[in-house]
Amino acid sequence: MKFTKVSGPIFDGEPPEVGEKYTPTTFDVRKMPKPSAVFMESIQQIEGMDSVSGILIRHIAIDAWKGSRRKRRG
Amino acid sequence: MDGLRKGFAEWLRLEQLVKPFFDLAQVLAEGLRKEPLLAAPVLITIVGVFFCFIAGIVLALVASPLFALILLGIPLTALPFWILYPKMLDRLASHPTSPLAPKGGQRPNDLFTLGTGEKKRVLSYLEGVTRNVSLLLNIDISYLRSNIFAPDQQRMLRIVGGLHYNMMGEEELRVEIPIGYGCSAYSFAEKKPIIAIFKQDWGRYSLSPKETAKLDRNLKWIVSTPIPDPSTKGKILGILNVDCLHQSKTERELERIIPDLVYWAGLIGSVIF
Repeated sequence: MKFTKVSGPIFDGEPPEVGEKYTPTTFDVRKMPKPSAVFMESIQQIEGMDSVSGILIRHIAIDAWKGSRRKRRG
Repeated sequence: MDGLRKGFAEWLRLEQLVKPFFDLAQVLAEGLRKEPLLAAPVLITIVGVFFCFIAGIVLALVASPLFALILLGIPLTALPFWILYPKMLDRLASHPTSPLAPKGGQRPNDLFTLGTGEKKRVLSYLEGVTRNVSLLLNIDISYLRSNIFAPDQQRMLRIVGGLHYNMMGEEELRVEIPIGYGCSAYSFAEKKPIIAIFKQDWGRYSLSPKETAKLDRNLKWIVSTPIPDPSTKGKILGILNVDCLHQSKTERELERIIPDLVYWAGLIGSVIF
């Protein structure tokens, strides 16, 4: 009958703690930990991604969380 | 044998040390090719700061300690780098030949109107995230599935057509969840990652009996992560779910995958803007 819930800061490199809220609106880019080596390994197995640098990939993901990218028009 | 192991460990350390510089060189090389107007000033700044630094040290040693003050000013001269470098990364990412740039003519505005190119990109990310979780948790990939939920016009969360990986059950793909209920909808409403583990039932994250009946009976846990909208701070486009059949895991074990999932969710969001 038990459920498990995680709510905690996930960008400081520490395991989340119950009771603390993670909110993307208070997202702090400086605290975002690097993704694991497995993440980089997995993404570089995707077709066309093997030549993309880790810096660029991380930048794209962090940028999405910042929500500051201008919407492009078709 | 010990020598060999030590040598290998040294090599690994060296690789870790060199990797960021290698990455930077790679980005600059790509930038010079695709965005020369932005990459050239960045490169000139890096070279300039490096030579100022060396010259500052030499002058401080041979001439006057006052020159040490010059060294303190060097971070200021690197200001163009901090301003131009992120812009260059942005331009590189959206460059038409970049694999990260959305493909297709029209820009979709949400998950339900993705073009074929964007769908293909998101599907490759779903496969990637499943492989990532499989390696991190040491679970056979055939037990792991991933999907994307998004709210429809009636504010019901459902799996976006075709955006799922390793999910076979037709019924399960038709699950509908009101926002605020279940793991995905809770994650959507609260804008935070949620871990749900099946014990005797799903507890707080239980769905209605009708929707629960659609789920695979062997489902053991679900991790839901919000997908951010890159154009609006704090807005959530949908939910990235990774779940597992047969293999139980503890909360502590599942917490390990959350930072990577946040990156995957960011990448998926970046396809949709």
